Amino acid sequence: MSEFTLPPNSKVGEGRHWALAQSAEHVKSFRIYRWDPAKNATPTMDTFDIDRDHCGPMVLDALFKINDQIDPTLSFRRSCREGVCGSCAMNIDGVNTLACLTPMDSLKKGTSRITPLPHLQVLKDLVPDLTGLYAQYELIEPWLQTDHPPPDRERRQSPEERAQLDGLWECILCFCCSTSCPSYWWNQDRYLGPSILLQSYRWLADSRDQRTGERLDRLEDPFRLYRCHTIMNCTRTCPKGLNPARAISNTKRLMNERD
Amino acid sequence: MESSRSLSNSTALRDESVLRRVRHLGSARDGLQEWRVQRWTALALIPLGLYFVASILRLATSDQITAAAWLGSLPAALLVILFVLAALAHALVGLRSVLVDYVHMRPRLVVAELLVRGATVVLAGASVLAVLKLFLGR
Repeated sequence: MSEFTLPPNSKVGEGRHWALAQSAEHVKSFRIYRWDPAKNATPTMDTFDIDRDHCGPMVLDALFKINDQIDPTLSFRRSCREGVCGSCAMNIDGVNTLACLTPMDSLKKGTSRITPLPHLQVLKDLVPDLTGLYAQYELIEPWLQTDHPPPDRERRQSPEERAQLDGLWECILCFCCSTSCPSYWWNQDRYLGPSILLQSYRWLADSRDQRTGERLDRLEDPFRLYRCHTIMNCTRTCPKGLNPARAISNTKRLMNERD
Repeated sequence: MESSRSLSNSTALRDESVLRRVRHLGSARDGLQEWRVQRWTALALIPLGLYFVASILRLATSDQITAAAWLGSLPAALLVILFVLAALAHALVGLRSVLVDYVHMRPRLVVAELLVRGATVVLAGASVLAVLKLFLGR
């Protein structure tokens, strides 16, 4: 059956409060999920006070400041710090988004809460285990497949055919959408989830790809595709403003047109 | 050193088993029909449901004879039978979907599905018989 409550070793307790050494004019507080696999303890929520006059504008800047100056043991993924790598996906005040694209000014007043992407195994602090998602990405064979040998020049597309890929190629695989999807929460072992299905549709919609039928065969499954109930959390949460729900419904439409 | 080596070994082992688990038994090549039933019955239920609710409201204050006479006419009896069948088909697809979402143990899923399917067939039979009885017994 589905687990609706956390197992005993995952119940979150109150952690340490890292108060500012001297008073500051503009203070922002974060409650951040902490769990260290080496410590054999339950997770805690640590509170960090940030002097905003000595910190960059984004939530990721606050995490950098914590990591540099307050508690160097805080773990999180980051790379590009400008919304093109998808590493710093996390849950900020209840919304899955990228820390680097979230200005602290956009958060609610008072203390903000940062937890890892929901419903994934946590490796440490804000770092979830993405192995299953990458395996699902591998399953859809996300590369151009044709029967023709590679041409001497690029494979050509009309501007209209290229336009079919807009809203799809921008996906950076941050997995904010998949981990916001209740269907993915309950069946992530078999349902592919919005991010992988959007990526899959990116190849179904590509005029240069010649494996559309095989790709649809692979998706035609009550779990892999049809666990989507158009809840649309995916579209609401996507930090890149994409619409995975539409990509999934287009996939179902293609499936319907096959006979 | 010993522990770090065993950790990397178990990580590699897990990476291999995850891909196998994700591929599972392959695609079932199924699900389209159920999706179509859900869509078509949803569309059909808009006019049928409006007709049924309007009729019930109109008959709400009438006596039993008038209500029975309503189902004595052919269009009314036909539309009500279609409404009941579409509603039950839609409900069956929806309930089955909920079960598949949440019930992850196969024996429990089979039992629950049998109960839901059985209840649907019984309800459909009883509803159609009830309408036919009023239609034929006029």
